Amino acid sequence: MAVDDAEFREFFAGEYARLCWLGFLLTGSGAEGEELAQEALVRMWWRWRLGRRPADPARYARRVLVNRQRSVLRRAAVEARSLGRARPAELVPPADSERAMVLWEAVKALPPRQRAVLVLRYKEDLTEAEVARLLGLPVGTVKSTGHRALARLRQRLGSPDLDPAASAPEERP
Amino acid sequence: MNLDAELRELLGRVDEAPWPGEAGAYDRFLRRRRRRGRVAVATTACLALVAVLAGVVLVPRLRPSRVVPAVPGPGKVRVESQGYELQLPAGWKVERELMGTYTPVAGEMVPATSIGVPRPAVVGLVLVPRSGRPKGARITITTDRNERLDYSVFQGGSRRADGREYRLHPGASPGEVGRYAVMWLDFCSQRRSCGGPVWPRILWVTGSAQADGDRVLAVMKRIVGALRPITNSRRPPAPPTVPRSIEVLLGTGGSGRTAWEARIEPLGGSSGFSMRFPWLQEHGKKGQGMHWESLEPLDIQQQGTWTLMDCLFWSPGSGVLLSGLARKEVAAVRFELEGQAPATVPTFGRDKGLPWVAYVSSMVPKSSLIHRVVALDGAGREIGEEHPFQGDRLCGPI
Repeated sequence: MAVDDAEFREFFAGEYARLCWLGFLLTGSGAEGEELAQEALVRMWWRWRLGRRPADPARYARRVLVNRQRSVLRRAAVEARSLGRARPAELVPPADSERAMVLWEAVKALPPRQRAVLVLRYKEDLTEAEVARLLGLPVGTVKSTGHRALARLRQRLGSPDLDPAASAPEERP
Repeated sequence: MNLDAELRELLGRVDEAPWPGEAGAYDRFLRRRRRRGRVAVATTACLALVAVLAGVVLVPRLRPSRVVPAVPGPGKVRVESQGYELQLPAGWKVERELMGTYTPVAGEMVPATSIGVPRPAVVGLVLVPRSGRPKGARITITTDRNERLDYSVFQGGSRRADGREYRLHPGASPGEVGRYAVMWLDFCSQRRSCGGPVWPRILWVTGSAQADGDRVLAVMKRIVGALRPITNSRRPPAPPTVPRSIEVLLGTGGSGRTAWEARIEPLGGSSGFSMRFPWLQEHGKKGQGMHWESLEPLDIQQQGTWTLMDCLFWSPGSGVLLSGLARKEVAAVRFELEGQAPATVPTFGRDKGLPWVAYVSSMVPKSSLIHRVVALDGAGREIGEEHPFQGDRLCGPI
């Protein structure tokens, strides 16, 4: 088990920050992000220990994290609950321009499901079908949620000059 | 750079960034892992403890507030950015206003972060007795708002008549007679500009005096009771909603391949609005033919309508249907599309006992650009508008 632990620790060191950031991007909260990452890694460890190490542990951990986030999304009083305990300082993703900061504020202001769709599409590079599977939604819902999120960002950013995605229409309900 | 590229760049940057507090992360992980083994044993004990705590903590909180309202004085003072108005206690005046930086966004004052141009705003007050007595008496009202707020500052305290919690803490420095923490959550009326339904905020009412500290404490207590919520500290009325398990067929329409059913139905534990397409459900792949989205009651309340789109690729001509829910007083919905005559459809489902009605457009050419969706009352007056999918052509990829 010691060898496993060392191996897991190496995995932990390599993935922890990325998982926390992913959790943060999904929730908009540093504390929630870290909570999701820790929880995903505990689940990962048990699986590891039981000899069921996934072929791609990093991907598996991200999937666990998103699934966990999905169950969090279902809870109505996420914000009220999270107010009940101390949280670390407000985080922002590394951004080197005011424009990037403004964009982040706009992303953070999106409803959780819309933010999740954008993060999974634009950060994790998942297809619409993969996002749909991961979030347990029909593909059409993912598509329209994504559109709605982008529209809301454009509205928030007040930037009519941004190019709308004008590629060929995709044929899904 | 377009929005897609900007998003990819912003979100992708975090991959190489360190996470604050990473140093102790593995220790925290080990503690959490150990806890998992003890959870089953601990659950029963926890339930008993929760019952005891509920008795100890909740019962005192349900008692009526003991705060005495402030005596009406000669003037009122408003601190809009922090959401309170105060009738000054008799014999006290504002010595000075504390200034901070706030940013007006969509009619709201939000803490200066990065959006818009920050402006100075009054964020706090320093009050002193007009007579100069008690000697050195001074009461400051300041605000603490960031995500590090520790809500244990209210534990063991009391509640105002309106339910807002408060608690007296001992003075933190010589001459300080005490500090009241008052829960003063920020409910933005324009929720989107705040990023959430509430922002944590505590008002600190801090008193100091060289003598007669009890008199200052009494005034502080009156102030705590007299603070009146204004602007962003007033809770907006909750929009109407429905139980999560509700399942209602709102209406049907179309025919053949384009036949549709509009419903409110649950999915994954949430209630939502769905458009079902029976032909595709029967002839398409498993899972096709149903478009469901979780309800957004606040959006419906604010905009009047809340619009979804469906790309009918299985139908000859493969157009688009726009559908959604509207406030109950909406009699018709008008779709305004670029280069096309406005199209108005009546709402339906008013007899279903729900807080909303539904609407479905006639077929719209795909790749259309939608300007706005307008909610109309029975007299044809505009009572709401929505800008769905702004900037995106209908049924384009995300």
